[in-house]
Amino acid sequence: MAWDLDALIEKAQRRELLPENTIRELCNKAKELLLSEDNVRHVQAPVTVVGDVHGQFYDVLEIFRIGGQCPDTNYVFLGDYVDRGYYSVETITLLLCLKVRYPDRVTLVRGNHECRAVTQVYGFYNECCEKYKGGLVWSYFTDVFDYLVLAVVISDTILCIHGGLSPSLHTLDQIRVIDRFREIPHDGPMADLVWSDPQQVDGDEISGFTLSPRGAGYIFGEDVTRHFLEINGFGHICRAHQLCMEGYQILFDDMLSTVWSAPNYCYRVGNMASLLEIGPGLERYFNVFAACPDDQRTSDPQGGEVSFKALVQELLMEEDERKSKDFQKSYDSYSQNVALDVQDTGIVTNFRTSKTLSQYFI
Amino acid sequence: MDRDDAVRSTNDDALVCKLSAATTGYLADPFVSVLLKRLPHRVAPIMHRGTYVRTAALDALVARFMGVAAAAGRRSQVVSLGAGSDTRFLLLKEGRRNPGLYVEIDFPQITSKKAMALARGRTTKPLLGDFQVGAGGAEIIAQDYWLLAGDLRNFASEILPRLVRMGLQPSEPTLFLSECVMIYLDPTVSDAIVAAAASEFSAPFFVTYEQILPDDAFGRVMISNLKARNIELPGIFAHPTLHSQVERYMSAGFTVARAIDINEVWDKHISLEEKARLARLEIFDEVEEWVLLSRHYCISWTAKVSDGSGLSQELALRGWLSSD
Repeated sequence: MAWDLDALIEKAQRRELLPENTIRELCNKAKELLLSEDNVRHVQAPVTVVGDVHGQFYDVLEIFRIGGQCPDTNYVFLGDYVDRGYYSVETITLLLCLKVRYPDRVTLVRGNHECRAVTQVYGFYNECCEKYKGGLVWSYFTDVFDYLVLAVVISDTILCIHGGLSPSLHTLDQIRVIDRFREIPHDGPMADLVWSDPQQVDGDEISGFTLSPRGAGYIFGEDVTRHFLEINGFGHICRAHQLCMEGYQILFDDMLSTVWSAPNYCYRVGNMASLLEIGPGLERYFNVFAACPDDQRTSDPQGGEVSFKALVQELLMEEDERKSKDFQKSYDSYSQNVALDVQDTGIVTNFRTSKTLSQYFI
Repeated sequence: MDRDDAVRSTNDDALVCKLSAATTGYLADPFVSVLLKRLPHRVAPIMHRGTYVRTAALDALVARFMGVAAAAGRRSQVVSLGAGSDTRFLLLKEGRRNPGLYVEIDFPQITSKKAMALARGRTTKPLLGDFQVGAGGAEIIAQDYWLLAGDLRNFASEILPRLVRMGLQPSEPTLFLSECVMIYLDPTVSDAIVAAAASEFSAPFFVTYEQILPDDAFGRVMISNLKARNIELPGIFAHPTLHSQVERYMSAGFTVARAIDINEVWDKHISLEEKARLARLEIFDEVEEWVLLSRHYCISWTAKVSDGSGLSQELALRGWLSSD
């Protein structure tokens, strides 16, 4: 297949899976690009900052509808592209295509889910194995994750990271010297950047850093935040990582904000989501939105009946294209038949493609 | 899929979560694999933790109930409504901590599968002792364990009289268990069950685990998601809060009642050692969702203890779910 990024993007937007060797090629090109990017990437406003999306592909399309298509709008994504949602593969594929196509208009920051350990527990690994019949594609993607940047600074004023601050990091330069090209470690400054949380409004006021209930990273308070901003000459920190029912949260007298971009998270939480739109004068606006309406979440790009004409066309198709169509079929049939063979007798109980399979206690 | 089928399908979900929690190490349960051979899909850590917490809480309440009965020198009886694929009796029997009588009731479609599995399982059959299979393979009747087919909509009119005829003693301490069961019933039916337990028994106890809080964003989405699977929760609107859970028992004639949500169970009643043990099993990155989900599930328990019954009212209430 000739390498045509625009064609790939179009396919990705239709939620068609790209063939395995295309994914490998895409990941290689992404790594080449990202290798030359600093741990801390500098971009200029205007720019739109996007929080966790967690494989909610249709809501990502909604984000582009609301925030503007690439490359018209400049985007910074703050990580957590995969896990939890049903379409992590399609989501990360689309975002990597856009990054490779418009490298100066898309920035991808690493989240705590962009690592091998977490994706094996929270769904991305399983999804890759189901959709690509094996773990190779997962390894291509997780290799790219090792290359994602750790932080973004917008117009020398707004620092963007996935999680939060670290007791080991007082200055931007300390972030710059981290060796990021590796799996996220269990602790240390790189882990803290993707796992930490600011202390919540209804918690007891803390000073400095305390241990996080997540088991990695820290909880940090207002004093630490103020100190970091002053030392580095920043005006604001924007991060993601924490679910916000209203789509965003502003803390510490507007020194820090959380942007959350996965509406009705896990198809269960019923929350709003938002995009942080930063204007040319660094004005900050949270554009709040709800989940993509159900009737726009189509399941089947191939439609129902196959006409004779289509059959003939299929016969005349090139080998590569035919292969990709075949495996598109098996992917669709997986997503449409969530079958439960609870008695292991070969008799399956068919649920309608269910959003609630083991999501509630019932 | 009709309504009853949809309700029966909830047992499949619970069974998958239970098996996954057991194989991951949250729960020690060698019997659940007799009922389900392999996992059809992955189960998230949040569901493992929730399965662990609900099992721990109900186990503690059942154990406490039996302790109260034993302290008074009385025979204890447990009636598990809509028991589904629950393995509690097997675990108790294996540990020789089972009550005088343990009764499980569910739809015949469910009891027949369970009866077959238990009667033939290499590890389960010995625990039944001498038993008979009845109702065309849908029931097991052993000396201390009855697996019976029935429709809870006929609890007061048919099931309860039958149990009494078979030998359930209304004068002995009896615990009724509803683990995500009454919520599926019309409130008039579930009220009738609670009322029958209160009025027909001298020393009735009742324990319920089910959903609450239908009116916030999470609750509304939950109800709509379940509706997409044809599962309705009529009980959640009748008893939507912890307070109304307590009320449902008190107004039926019980004398003491309490209700707490799963957050409170996790925060106050699971030891630090246990929490540390669970933390070592797998990564848990769902803290906010856990709190939200757990807010929507409650454990409520109640007793009707009259003076002269030999059962301490205070012990019945205070002793449940505390460490003493």
